[in-house]
Amino acid sequence: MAQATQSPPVAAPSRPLSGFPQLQGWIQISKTHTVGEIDDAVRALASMPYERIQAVNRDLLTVRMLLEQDEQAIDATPRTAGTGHTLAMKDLAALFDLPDDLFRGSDGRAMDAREIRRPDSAPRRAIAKILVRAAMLHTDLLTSPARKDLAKHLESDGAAMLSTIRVDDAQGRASADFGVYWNCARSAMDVAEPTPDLQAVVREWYVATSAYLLNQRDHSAAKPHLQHARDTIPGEARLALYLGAVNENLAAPPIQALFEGGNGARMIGTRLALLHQADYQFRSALLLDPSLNDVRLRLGRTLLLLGRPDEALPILAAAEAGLRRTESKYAAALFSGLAQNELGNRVEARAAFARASALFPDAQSARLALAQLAMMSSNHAEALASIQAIKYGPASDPFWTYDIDLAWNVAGPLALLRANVTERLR
Amino acid sequence: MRNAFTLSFIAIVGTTFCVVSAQDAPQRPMYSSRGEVVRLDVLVAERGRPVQGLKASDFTVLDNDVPQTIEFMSGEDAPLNVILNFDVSGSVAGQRLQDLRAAGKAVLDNLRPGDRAALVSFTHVVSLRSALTSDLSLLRGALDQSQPEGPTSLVDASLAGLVVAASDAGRSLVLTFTDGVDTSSSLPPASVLDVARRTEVVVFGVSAGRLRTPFLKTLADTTGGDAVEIQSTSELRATLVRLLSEYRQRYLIAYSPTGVAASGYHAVKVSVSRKGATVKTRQGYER
Repeated sequence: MAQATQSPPVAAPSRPLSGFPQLQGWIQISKTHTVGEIDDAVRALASMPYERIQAVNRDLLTVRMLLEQDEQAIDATPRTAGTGHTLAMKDLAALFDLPDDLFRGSDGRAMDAREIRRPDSAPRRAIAKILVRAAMLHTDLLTSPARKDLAKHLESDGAAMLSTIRVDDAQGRASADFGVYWNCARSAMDVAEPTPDLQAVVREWYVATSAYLLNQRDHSAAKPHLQHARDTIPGEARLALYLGAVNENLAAPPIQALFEGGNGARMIGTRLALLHQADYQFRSALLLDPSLNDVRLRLGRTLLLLGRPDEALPILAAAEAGLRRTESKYAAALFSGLAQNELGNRVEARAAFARASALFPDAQSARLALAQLAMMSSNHAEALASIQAIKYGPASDPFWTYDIDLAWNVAGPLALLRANVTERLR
Repeated sequence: MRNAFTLSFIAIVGTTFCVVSAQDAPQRPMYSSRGEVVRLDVLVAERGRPVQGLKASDFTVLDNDVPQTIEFMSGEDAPLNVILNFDVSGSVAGQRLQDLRAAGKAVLDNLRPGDRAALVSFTHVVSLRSALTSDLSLLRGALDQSQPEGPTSLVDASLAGLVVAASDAGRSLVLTFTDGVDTSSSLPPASVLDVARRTEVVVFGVSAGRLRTPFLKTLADTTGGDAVEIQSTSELRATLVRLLSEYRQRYLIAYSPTGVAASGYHAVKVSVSRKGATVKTRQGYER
């Protein structure tokens, strides 16, 4: 196992707690982080060995159990052979390095477990703020273009840490897996989420980070992230939309081609199963927020891929009418044309492809579709003209980026998230 | 439009095709008196080798199980349109690209006077690098300029190949090379197969490694071509030249469909009287 890179010095906890040194150290680092900056805290986090992040994640689950369920939670996974460690309410002040006074009521007596557990209690709010900052520490590392350089040791930490596969032209390449950092950030947010004045921030965090993962085509991280997000915030339509989109993307040829016939197909799901999951999530999103036309676009396309063009057509028509982003309108017109063509309605198909082509005259997908229609009418000259109009060299076709079009703007939401979190943590 | 196509075909027949023989038909068949002509490229092989010297009377053609009269037949002298449809996606970098360029040039070297060629290259972008031309230096230059990058749009490129091939009424074959699977096409495969059934183009597919997509084999079978798997792109040059040579040794058979429905799908079956010989041609046509 490779050693972690040299980490910046971090102050030791003032009251070391037996059995939880990893979590305590991580909390100390998190508390020094300035949201939105690549500071020493980010560098210290990035240099942590993989196993240490895993240990922190396990300890955070223990904290959550303590605050939400049991009188006394036991970390059932000892890190030292033959020993286990118990975390009790009385340990929280030391663990999070909080003043003991915070754990006393207005009458000066120590709060009991029930009082501490209340989502709006002072200790709970203080802990939640620390953990939101910690989640943002992870977010700042994970969304940094320099994350691979910062956490270089992941590449050499052994096969277990190279479990992410980057897909390029149906060829897979093992890559550093940052999933453990996302797990840990989610565990931190899970503890913070019940606190009323941080709920909006947690929701915003899930939406912004999910969009980021979608934008990065990091489906292996996005899927568990979004599944967890849906369980945590079931009423957020955008999360259902994003989870549907991840399933739709996983069902697409670039990824299915890589795993066809192998064990990977069982891991990620078959094309048909994934499309049905996408269908379910998109319908859920529409129920939650009927104004989301992006959902209609994707639901319509999914139905088309499921071989139900008649059902897809009215949904795609509504999407095309309601969408404002030109790239999305293009996709809606293109898919409408494909649905019409599949139903044998060539005149309507041609009109839809022409609408798409008018929006992006250089885009090849609409031109190819028009050429296909011309060939069906034996109009070879028109078909050839459509093919000849496709320009050689760099060109723009919204179809090529349809998979991430939902998340075309991630910088804005992430910046807003950072500003809002900074405001909340003040 | 179909009439225009038929007329131009007749012009080519009259000027450049060498008539071998015709069963119960005059040497210059009167196509103009008929609505349509169906043209079939037919490979007859025995023990894997093309059989030459057959006469029209050796063939039986069934259109939707109805026997047809062969009105025209020619051998290998007919000029060809050869469309090179080459995958230059990211996975074709390095030696594969060198082999692909060499194979493309070898095909061009094996063309004859009167033949024409075109080049379609594809990544996720489908590019008609050169339309049908007899100026082969243009194609050689275009082959050298191909740079591998991006994903693969095999289905989209197959449509482009069919369009270019069908843009001329002569005998056309498409030589498609890919080293992988389709990862980025916008067209449904079925829509391209629909087009293939409406053209007389023959498609050959060559895959470096296992053919991982049924599309290319279905397209080849539909058009009467063949799908070939090669272990390494070092075999590509010999494979493409062999396919071109094999195509030249096909018989061109034409008939005016009689006794069958005017529209819809027509299954075509061709057989020869010669024992032990196998016949390959397209499975049918749509009109």
